[in-house]
Amino acid sequence: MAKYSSANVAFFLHSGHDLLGVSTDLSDTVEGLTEDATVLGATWQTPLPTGTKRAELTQAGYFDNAADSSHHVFNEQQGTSRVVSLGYEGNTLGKNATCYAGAYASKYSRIVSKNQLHRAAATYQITGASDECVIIAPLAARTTDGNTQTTPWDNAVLSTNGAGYLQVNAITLSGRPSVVIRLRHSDDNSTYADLATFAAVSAIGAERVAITGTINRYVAIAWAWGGSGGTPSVTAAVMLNRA
Amino acid sequence: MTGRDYFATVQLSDRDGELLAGVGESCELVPESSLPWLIEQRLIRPFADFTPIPDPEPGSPEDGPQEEG
Repeated sequence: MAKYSSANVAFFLHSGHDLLGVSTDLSDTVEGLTEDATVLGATWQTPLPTGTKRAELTQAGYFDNAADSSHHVFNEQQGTSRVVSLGYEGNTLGKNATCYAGAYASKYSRIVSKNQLHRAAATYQITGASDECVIIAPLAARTTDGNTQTTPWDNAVLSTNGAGYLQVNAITLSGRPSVVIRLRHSDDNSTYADLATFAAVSAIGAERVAITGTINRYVAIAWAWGGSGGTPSVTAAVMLNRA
Repeated sequence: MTGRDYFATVQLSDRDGELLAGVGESCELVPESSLPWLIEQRLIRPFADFTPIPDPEPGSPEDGPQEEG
């Protein structure tokens, strides 16, 4: 077990846009909903779980109208579904990250106070999933076709079902049409098989793919560019949730 | 057991990323030690399971519309 601090927060990606540099406080909450089932004659209130969960994410920080920063991401975007990833332990293979799919920044506030920098705050309602993930590929630039199979994440055991998350923070196509990023897995760290394939990427963005079936103990990524020539580069992170 | 008897249902590569078998291709390059887990997870299937669809008999309904004349 280890403790972490604000210095360990490595990324806060909103469908590829990293808001870490303008964020000061983050709070992610998952709540199991209950119904009050107290009956007559009971001495103590009896909340019973309904089986429904609710996830909520709130953030506070600085107002910034730079392209791809907080104002760009939140203003007039209340109806836009985002994939959000929070790397709160660091940007290293095997560190934990929380990922959300179907995250709507339903409330965006600009706060202007005397003698202070302008602030921005957002509250997200999560309509999709809130997944506890492991970083399979840290946020880093990747150029020519390659893979991380020589440095996979070893989970020690296999598992069943889950989800993969891809966050693309920057991309330079350099004449290429797109890049395809895949999750790959192996039982013996010798032969690797496709586990899940993300949609071809040609712009900043993010995706969650559901995984059904076995996820073997070793997991890595591979990426392949379409076309030829140029010096393409994609800055991406990939996370994996094991159900 | 040999990989030659199996075809891949997903792309397979070695640790260095060298392609061992594409989808539908023979697994003859796959190490024998990897075959059991690939078979168990149905990531490779025996060619014996693959039943080719026969060409329709000429004039049969499956052969499509016939020209008048």
